[in-house]
Amino acid sequence: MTLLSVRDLGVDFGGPLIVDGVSFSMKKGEIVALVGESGSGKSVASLALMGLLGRGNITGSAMLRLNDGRETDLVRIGPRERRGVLGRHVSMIFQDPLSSLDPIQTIGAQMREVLSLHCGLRGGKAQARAIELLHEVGIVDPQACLKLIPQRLSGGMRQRVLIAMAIAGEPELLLADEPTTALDVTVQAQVLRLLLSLRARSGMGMIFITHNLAVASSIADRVIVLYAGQVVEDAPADAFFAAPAMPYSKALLGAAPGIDSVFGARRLPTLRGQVPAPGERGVGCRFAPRCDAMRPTPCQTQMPDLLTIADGENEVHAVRCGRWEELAR
Amino acid sequence: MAEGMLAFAARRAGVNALLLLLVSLTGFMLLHATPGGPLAQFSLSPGMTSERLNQIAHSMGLDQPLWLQYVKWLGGLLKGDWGHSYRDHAPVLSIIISHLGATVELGLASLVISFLGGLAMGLIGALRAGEAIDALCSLVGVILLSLPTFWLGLVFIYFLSVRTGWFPAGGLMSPGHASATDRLRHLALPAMTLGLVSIPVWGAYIRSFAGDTLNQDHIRTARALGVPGWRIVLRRVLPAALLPLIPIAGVYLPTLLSGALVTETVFTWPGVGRLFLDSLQYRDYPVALGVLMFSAVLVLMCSLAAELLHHAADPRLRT
Amino acid sequence: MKSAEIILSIWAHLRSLRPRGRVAAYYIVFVVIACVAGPWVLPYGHAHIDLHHRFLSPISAGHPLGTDEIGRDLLTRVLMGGRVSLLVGLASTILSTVIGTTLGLVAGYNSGAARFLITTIIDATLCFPVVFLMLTLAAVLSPGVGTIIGIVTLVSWMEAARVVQAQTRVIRKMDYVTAVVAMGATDRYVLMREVLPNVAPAVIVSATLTIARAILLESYVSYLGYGVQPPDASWGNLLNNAQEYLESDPWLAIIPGVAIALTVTMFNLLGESLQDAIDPSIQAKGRRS
Repeated sequence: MTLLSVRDLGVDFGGPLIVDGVSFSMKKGEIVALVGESGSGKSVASLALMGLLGRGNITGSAMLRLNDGRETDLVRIGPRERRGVLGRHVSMIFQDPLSSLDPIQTIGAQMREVLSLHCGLRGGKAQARAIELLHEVGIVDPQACLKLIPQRLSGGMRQRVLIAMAIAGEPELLLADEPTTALDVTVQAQVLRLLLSLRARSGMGMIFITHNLAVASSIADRVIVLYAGQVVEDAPADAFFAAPAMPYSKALLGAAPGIDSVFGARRLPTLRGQVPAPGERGVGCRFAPRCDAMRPTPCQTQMPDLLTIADGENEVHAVRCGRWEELAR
Repeated sequence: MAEGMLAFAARRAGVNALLLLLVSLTGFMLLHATPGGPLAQFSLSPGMTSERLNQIAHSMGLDQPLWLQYVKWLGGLLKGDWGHSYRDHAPVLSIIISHLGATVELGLASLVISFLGGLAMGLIGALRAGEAIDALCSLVGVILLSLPTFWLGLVFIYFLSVRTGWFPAGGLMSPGHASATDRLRHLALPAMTLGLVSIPVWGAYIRSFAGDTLNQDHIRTARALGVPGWRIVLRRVLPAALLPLIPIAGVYLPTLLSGALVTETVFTWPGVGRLFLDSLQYRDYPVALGVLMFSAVLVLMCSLAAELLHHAADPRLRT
Repeated sequence: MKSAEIILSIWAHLRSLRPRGRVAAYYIVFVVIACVAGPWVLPYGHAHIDLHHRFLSPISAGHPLGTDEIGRDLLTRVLMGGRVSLLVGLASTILSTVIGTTLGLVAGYNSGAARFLITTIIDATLCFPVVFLMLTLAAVLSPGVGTIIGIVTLVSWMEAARVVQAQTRVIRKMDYVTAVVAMGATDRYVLMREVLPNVAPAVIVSATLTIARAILLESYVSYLGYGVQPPDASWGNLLNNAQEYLESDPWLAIIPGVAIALTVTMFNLLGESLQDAIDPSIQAKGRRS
């Protein structure tokens, strides 16, 4: 069953589109990795879904199907309604766990705030639930932890606390914006395992934003590659890592041989050039200037559509490349 | 943790003792360097003979070497004997304390006005950063900061007292009936004068601290978890903006004395500021010196107390 | 040449000021010209007493701002007072900037005894409430314009010293300064060529704000009767006995006060805008929402 269906999402700040016609949908309990370099628009897109951009124009729609069967458009809902959705149906965790907790209040106070907001729990019940949640995210001594201010915790611990707060309202969808990037590699793996086990237990869907393909390969069911604000490839994780169709994806993967998972060895992908700035895009394929397979036509003359190239048992594979068929041979 | 704070307090107390020594030396030297010296008040009185003057000088110990006078005076200070007024021979310390009440009353009332005004101005500025109302708030702040206190007082007296008769133009209370409303009516104009010019001091700090907090990641996290905006301001922004104000308040409160002096003069308010000005005018040096020392002690105690309090209250300082 | 570069950069900053900063700059130029040239143009000497025309209201024939208790033209008095107030503001700012910058450089560049001594003097000076200290000094010294300049300087130099000291300490630790020192540059060279040009913008901002404060402080002391002495006028002492006539002739108090408030506001606005122009990060922060 579809959990979220994003159609033609566009974001601009008064200039060119930063997020340009992004469409995808995901099923309940699915983990989708939104992959791209910095400047690809992946963070802006996720903040737009949350209504946390604060400025800019957002177009398109993002229908979220709630557990009770209702549907809500994350792009269109008003501020009051959104407050009822955030934390309870959609939560988000961020890259820097060090600064994502209020340094003045204790962990307990911050957790109780969320619990009273979304679960109506107060006093002893809130305390008990907070302990339960912290236990669930793998904090060894939850009671002691609740009394601490965030500065006393390590980065990994803080990210666990943030995850506990994010799942307190038992949301259907969790957005995770590079949640492991600021952490040590070993801690990174622990947090990824935690997220996987939470999904297994609660059936919560997840959009996992990362620039790290190794991280994506170890957590995602499906990979969506963003480039210069557009979706350029959307594929089941197995298919994507086995046979990526878009030259950009190939380049990313090719630059990181032996990509397996963060649990094993890895190397960072390197690629010549950089993502074109929003104002410096040509009429053709936006990846063309950096593409080894580029031909003047059609690559520089026509923007390729996002084409579905495989459609087996709901596992759609789509790619945005004018030459994908030639290149697949 | 407590040991660290103790060491900090001890070090600060040491520095403060050194500073007070410097201050007392400076003050003592200054007033003994005045034309006529500490005897000026007596030498100007009619029918004074040099013989009688020498007698007075001797009785007050003014014929002793300057350093000895200083040491004796300093010793007295430490024992709580701050000397006696030339005018009425009352002990300096008790004169100061008897004037302190009026100044504290004025200071507290103006503090409430300036703090509430600054809080409103700072929060509006931070929450509407970059918008027209933010620019307006900062403009109003600059103007308030630029108003001469005494002139603002005169304007208030003219428009709110002389022209309309709403408030009394000066004094602590009407002679004869000291009701609470009467005292409040007398307090209104001086407190407003001193309070208004201090609004931007608080406003600017609150604007800056609240603005910094609003830009922090944990505010975004709270929003992402559906915490309502008013709750974010109340539980996160306000505490974060107010805690660092504690040490600033420690520095600011004593500067209130300067404003109080001017305000007390305009409104004939019988506080420490007036006392100081009067004692300078009458060349009553023990009192002038006493007030100077008193205010210096107040400055140092306030800033030390505020820093310790800040340490105790702000979890961000305890990592 | 470095000084030419500094002047060019100031000019560039002035041109990039926000509108309210430019308005302030124009106003300041206007007031300075009016105060310097005005008394020559106006027909009355500032001490011209005319007992037949006492207490004239503003917009009287020949006296646009009216006359005071002994028939002196108020506009002339205000402009003459402005000369003194602006002179005190400017002179004490220059003095305190030079003193403060020098001490700040020394304290920021050296560690150990020199820094301890200077910071202790700064802290000790800050122990006195400003107006108390000024009045004490004024009581000791014989009153006059020179004295008041000295007094205002004595209570104003700490701001520049603290700004310069803090900045110098930061710059001294910068890698490029370390590199220059490693190549054998003398302290003098480092201070004049590396540190001074970098602290100059902050010093200019602090000086602009110091002028505003100095004008205000002069007015306090003169209002209380310890500053500029009659018959000389300053904006503060024009208000000195205006309180007596407040009931019947309020403009005697209101007009000089407006002159102070407006001028101080404009200097503060100029300083604030200069600060924004010099430190774009503040502006950027202000714009973020």
